[in-house]
Amino acid sequence: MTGSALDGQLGGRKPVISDGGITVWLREDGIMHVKLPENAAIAGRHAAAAAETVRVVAAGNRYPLLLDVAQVKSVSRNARRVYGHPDTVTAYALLGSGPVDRVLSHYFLGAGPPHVPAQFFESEDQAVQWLGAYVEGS
Amino acid sequence: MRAVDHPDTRLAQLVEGIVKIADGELSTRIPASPARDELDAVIAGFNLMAGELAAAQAELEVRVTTRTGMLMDALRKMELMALTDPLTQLRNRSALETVLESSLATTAVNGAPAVLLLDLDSFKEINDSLGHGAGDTVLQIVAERLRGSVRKQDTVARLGGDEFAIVLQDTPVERARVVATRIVSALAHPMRVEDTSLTVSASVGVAIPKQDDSAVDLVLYADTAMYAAKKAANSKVAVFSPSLLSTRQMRSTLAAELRNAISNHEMVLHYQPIVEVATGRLIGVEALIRWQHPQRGLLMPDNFIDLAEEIGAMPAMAVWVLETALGCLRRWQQTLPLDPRFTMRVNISATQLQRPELLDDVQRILIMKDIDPRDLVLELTEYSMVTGNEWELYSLRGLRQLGVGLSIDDFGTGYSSISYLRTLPVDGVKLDKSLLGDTSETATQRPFIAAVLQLIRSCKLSATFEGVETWEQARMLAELGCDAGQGYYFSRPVPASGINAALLEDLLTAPWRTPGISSTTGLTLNVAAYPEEPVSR
Repeated sequence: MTGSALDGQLGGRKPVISDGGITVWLREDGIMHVKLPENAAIAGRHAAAAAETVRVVAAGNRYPLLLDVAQVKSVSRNARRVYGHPDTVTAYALLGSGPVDRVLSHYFLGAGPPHVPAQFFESEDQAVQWLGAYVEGS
Repeated sequence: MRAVDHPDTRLAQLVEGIVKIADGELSTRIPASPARDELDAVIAGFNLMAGELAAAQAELEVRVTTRTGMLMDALRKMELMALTDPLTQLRNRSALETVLESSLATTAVNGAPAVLLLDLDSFKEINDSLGHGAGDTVLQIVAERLRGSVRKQDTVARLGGDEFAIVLQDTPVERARVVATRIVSALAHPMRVEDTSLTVSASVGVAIPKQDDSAVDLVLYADTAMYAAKKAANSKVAVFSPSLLSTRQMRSTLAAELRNAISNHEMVLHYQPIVEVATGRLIGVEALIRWQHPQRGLLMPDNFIDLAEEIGAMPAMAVWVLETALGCLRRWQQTLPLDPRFTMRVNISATQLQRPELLDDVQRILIMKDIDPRDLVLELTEYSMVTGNEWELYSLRGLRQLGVGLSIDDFGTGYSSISYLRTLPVDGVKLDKSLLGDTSETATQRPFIAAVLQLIRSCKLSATFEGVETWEQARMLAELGCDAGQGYYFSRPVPASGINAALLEDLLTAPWRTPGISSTTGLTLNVAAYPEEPVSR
């Protein structure tokens, strides 16, 4: 999806589904929510498309990001590398359920950009609460 | 949760996967089950770790390949630097020797190499007169011309300074000589350096290996031949022969002996009278150095001055000459009725003029020997005065300020430019004997000599003719108003004891002053008294 096509969908903070089925939306509470599709194998190109969507949605601002990896099948090494950029993200919370998500998430955390706070959560409420501290201007 | 009739094989798969990873199959992956339980988490972790391991290994391989390439590049560059002369980009001595050793080792298969060694004949003068930047440019142009004179398989190297060597692969001596001649011609073409057109000449030595000669031997042979080429008047190329080596060895022995000659009191000064031709009065002597060699007898300066320059013995020798000559002058001043104009004439070489210490040495010795600076005249060649650099000018001006007399020596053999006579800071000119011509030509030379003397007088300089050998010449000079004469007719060079009252007396009764009395024997008294002095100066 091109940047201009994306721009057209973002007026009312509606969820945007980027290439590979990754859903991106900016929540009312100022958190960027990214949901990986369940049972999907996420490749580098999917992650790159999602990162571009996040950049366009952020529109030059920085947001805390909630990355929902629950039930995802696998995430490639290249996909983990396209994990976000400190220019657009203030903190990462990885959300999953069960031991497989936990293992995957920790690989994400290991590959994440330095100097950006990141943590794994199994509860969305706790993740949102933790991310709340990183909403700029809050 | 898996059904009971489907046994869970995931642990067995994990074990198998670990074995494969251990065997190096890093692409091994284990399928996850929909259960997403802890075992699936281990499987996910296994897959992720295997992926990381494969990626790390691939990155490592790329990095090792890149770094190895960089290291090899750096090594090649370092090797090239270690083997290359940075100024000319030619090979250096070490590289040349390696190439030569390799050629010598394969002579049976590839043919014998020839070695050419050359150096530039007047490179020091270029450096001194135009500066080291110009000297470097000359070396680069020479390097280019050398490269252009040989084949691709030949090796051209700069050994240091203005010395170059070439290894010609599979080249017999006749062919090597042709290449050497071609190189001499190539270098003789004028080159433009800093808006100055220069011509460089070189002497080339050629050597061909005998059995068991090493690279070092061959370079030494070529060097010996080059030295012979430099000494030869009619050839710029010489091929090595064993007899040259013995000449060189003799020269090395002589050099070692020369270093000790002063401390062994083997150096002596002889003095040749300078006579006022109008009156016969002794108005000076020229101090002439001789080497009383313990085995080879009395050696003339032609036999050792170049060597002394080469081995750096000249400064000490110049100081010794000044001390000895001025010491002698002091004794004569105290014991002989010398003419008030009597001067001690001492030769100073171009290289001595470049020594910053020269001025201090002259001043110190004048004071030490209690000599008035006006009683010392330093004789310099035209060449050293005309081509002088800043140091030489400094020395000349300083000597003038001291009050020391300066005279152009051997006028008529070098530049002989009339304009220099007017501009150089000198008091007198010593005319070379070649201007007098053959002793049989005295009459025909007369108008020419009259004109030269007129020219010198018009520049307000005194004229001394050297090489006066006959009564006719002395008579003619007296008639033409020449100030002074020097030569065998008056007296050969004599030891210090030969400058005595009897000589002064003899000169005053000189026959050339009496018209009509002809004599070709001159003042034979002095000639007979010192028979050991050879005929040539």
